[in-house]
Amino acid sequence: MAILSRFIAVFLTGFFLANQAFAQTILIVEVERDGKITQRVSYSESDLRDIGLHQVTTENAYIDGVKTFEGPLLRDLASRLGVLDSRIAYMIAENDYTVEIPMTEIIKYDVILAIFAEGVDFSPRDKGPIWVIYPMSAHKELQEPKYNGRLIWQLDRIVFK
Amino acid sequence: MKNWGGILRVLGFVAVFVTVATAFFTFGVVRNNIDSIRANWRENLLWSSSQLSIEYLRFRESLLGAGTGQESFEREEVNRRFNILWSRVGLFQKGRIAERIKGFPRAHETVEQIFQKLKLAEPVVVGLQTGDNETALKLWRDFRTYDDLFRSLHRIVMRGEVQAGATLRQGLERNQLLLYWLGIGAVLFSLMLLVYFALETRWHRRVSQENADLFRQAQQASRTKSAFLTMMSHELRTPMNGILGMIALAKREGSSPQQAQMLGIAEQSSQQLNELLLDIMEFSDLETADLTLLHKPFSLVALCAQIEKALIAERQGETSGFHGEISENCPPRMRGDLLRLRRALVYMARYLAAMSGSDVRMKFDYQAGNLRVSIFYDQDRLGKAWVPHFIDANQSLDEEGFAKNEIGTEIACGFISIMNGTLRHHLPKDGQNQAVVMVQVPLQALDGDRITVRIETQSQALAAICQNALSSFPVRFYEPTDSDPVHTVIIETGGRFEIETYERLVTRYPDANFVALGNPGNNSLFDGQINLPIDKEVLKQAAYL
Repeated sequence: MAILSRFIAVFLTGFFLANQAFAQTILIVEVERDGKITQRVSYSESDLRDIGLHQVTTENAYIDGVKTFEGPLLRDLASRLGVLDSRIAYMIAENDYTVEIPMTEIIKYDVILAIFAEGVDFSPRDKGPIWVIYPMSAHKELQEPKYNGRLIWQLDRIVFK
Repeated sequence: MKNWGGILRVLGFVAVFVTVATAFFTFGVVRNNIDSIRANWRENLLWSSSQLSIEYLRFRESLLGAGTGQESFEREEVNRRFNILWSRVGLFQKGRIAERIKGFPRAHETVEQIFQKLKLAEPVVVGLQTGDNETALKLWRDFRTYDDLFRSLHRIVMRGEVQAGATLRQGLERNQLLLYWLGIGAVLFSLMLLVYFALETRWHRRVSQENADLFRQAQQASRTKSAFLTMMSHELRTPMNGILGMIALAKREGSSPQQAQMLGIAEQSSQQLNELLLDIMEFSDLETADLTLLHKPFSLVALCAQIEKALIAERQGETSGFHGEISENCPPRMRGDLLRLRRALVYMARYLAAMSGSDVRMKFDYQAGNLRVSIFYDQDRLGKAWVPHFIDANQSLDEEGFAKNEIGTEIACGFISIMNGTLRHHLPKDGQNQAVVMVQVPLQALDGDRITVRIETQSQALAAICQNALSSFPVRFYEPTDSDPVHTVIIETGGRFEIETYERLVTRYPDANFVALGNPGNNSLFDGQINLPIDKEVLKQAAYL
C-alpha cells in the first residue's frame, strides 16, 4: 500500500511538473503603435501548437543536410493578432540579438516559428525553444547571405510595429 | 584562286571557332568569379566568432554576478547564459559553418577544446545553487583561464577570413587579367574575321564578274552564230525560190515523161531544201527568242489536210501512213499560228512514224480553250518502256541526235513551248500496243460558224467570180456597215493597187489572213495565193475554210 501511495505521489508530481513545463511561457509578442505597446500576449508551447503547425523541409547554413522543421506560421500568428498591416516585425533572441523582418516577407513566404526539428523539440542548447525558419530550399532568392542573419534562434520576443 | 579561297575559308572557320570558344570561356570565368564571391560571403564566420566571444563574456559576467551575490545573477541566469554559450559553440560544429572552419588551420581543434571545457564545467554549472557564491566565483576563475582559447578562435577565424578574402581577390585579379587578354584576342579575331569577310566578298565578286563576262561572251557568240545562220538561210531561200519558180515554169511548158519525172524529183528536192533552210532559220530564232507567233484564223480541217499532205509527200505519194480524226467538240475555226502548229505536229508525227515504223493516227479534241492533239503510234518495235527523246527531259539532243535528223522534234518542242503548250506521253496500256504523245495548246475558238471575207478587186466582175466560188462555203461577205471582225482578206494583185490595198487593210485587220488573187509582186506579204482561173479547192485552203 505504501509503495502504491509513493508511486501515485511520484506520478502526480511528474504530471504536474510536465504540465507546468507545457504551460510555461516561451514567447512574448507585443504590438507597438505610435511608440506605445498596445497589446502584449504570452505564448506557451501549447498556445503555439493551437495556432496550427506547418512543416518546412529545408537546409540552411547551420544544419547538416536537409531537415524538416515544424511550427506555426508567423503569418498565422500575425493574422490572429490582427497585425498583418504592420510594417515590420522585430525578432529578439534570449541574448538580445535582434533582427528586423519586413511584413511583406512574412506574408509572401512560409516563415515558421519552428518548435520541432525532425519531430523533436529544440533544446535551449540547440537553438531552442524557438527557431525562425525560412523555406530556403524552396526559394532560390532566400539563399542570399542576408537571410542567414534572419534565421534567429532562441527567439524570446516579437514586436510588431 | 581556288587555293586562296580554301585558305580563307579555313581561316574564317578558325576565327569563328575561337571567337565562340572565347565567349564561352569568358562566360565561364565570370560565372566562376560570381560563384566564388557568393560562396565566400554566404556564411559570416566573423559574426559567429564574435557572437561566441560576446556570449562567453556574458556567461562569465553572470558567474561573477552570482559570485558577488547580485540578485539579478541567480542560478537560472547562469544556466541560461551557459546554454546560450553552448549553442554558440555548437554553431561551429554543424552545417556549412563547420565545413568552412575546417579549412582554417587549428580552428577545428580549438572549437573541440572549447567544447570539451564546457562539458567539463557543465555538471558544476548545472548543479550551482542560488547563494553558493564560492562555487560561482571558483567557476568564474576557472573560466578565466579559457580566455586565450576564445581569443585564439576569434583570431584564427579572422586570419582565415582575411586569407580567404585575399585568395578570392587574387583569383579575381588573375581572372581579370585573363579576361583582359581574352578581350584583346577577341578583338584581334574579330578584325581577322572582318578581313576574311572582306577578302571573301572581293573574291566572290571577282568570280561572279568573271562568270558574268563568260556568260555574256557565250551569249554573244550564240547570238552571232544564230544571226549568221538566219542570214544564210534567208539568203539561200531567195535563190531556192527562183529555182522552184523555174521548175514550175518548166513543168508548164510541157516535157517528155522522163523530163517530167526528173523535174518532179528536182522540185521535191528543192522543197525539202527549202524546208531545211526554214528549219535552220527558226531553230536560230528559237535560240535567240526572236520568234514572233502569228495570231490568225485557221480551220482545223485545213490543218489536218496540210499535215496529211506533208506526210504523204514525205512517203513519196503513198496514201496510207496518216489518219486524221477531228472530234465533234472541235470548233470549225480557231485563231493561232497555223504554220508553226502544223510544222510541230508534222515533225513529231514524222519522227514517231520513222522510229516505230508504223502508221500514225492523229486525233483532235477541243476542251476548255485548249486544242488537244493525240498522236497514236505503234510501240511494238520500240519496246514497252520507250519514250520519245523530246518528252524525256533526261535525253538532251547531242551531236548524234542532230545527225539523225532529230532537229525537227527540237523545233516542234520549241514551238509548243512558245505557244504555252504542253507535251505528255502515255505508254501503252496492258494488252495494247499503241502509245500516245499528247500535245495541248491553248487556242482561241472563233465565234460563230461563219467567217467574214472581204474581197478587194479592181473589177467588180472578178469580185463576183470570187463570191460565186465561195458561196458554197459557210462564209459571209463584208459589208461597209459591218463592225464584225474580218477573218480573210482577198486582194487582187498587181501594181500599186496591191501595195496600197494591203497597207490600208493590214493596219485595220492585223490578225486577218491575206490571200493574193493572182501572182503577187511581194510574195512574203500574203498568207495564201489563188491563181486564176479560180480553183475551188485551192480557194478553200487559201482562205482556211
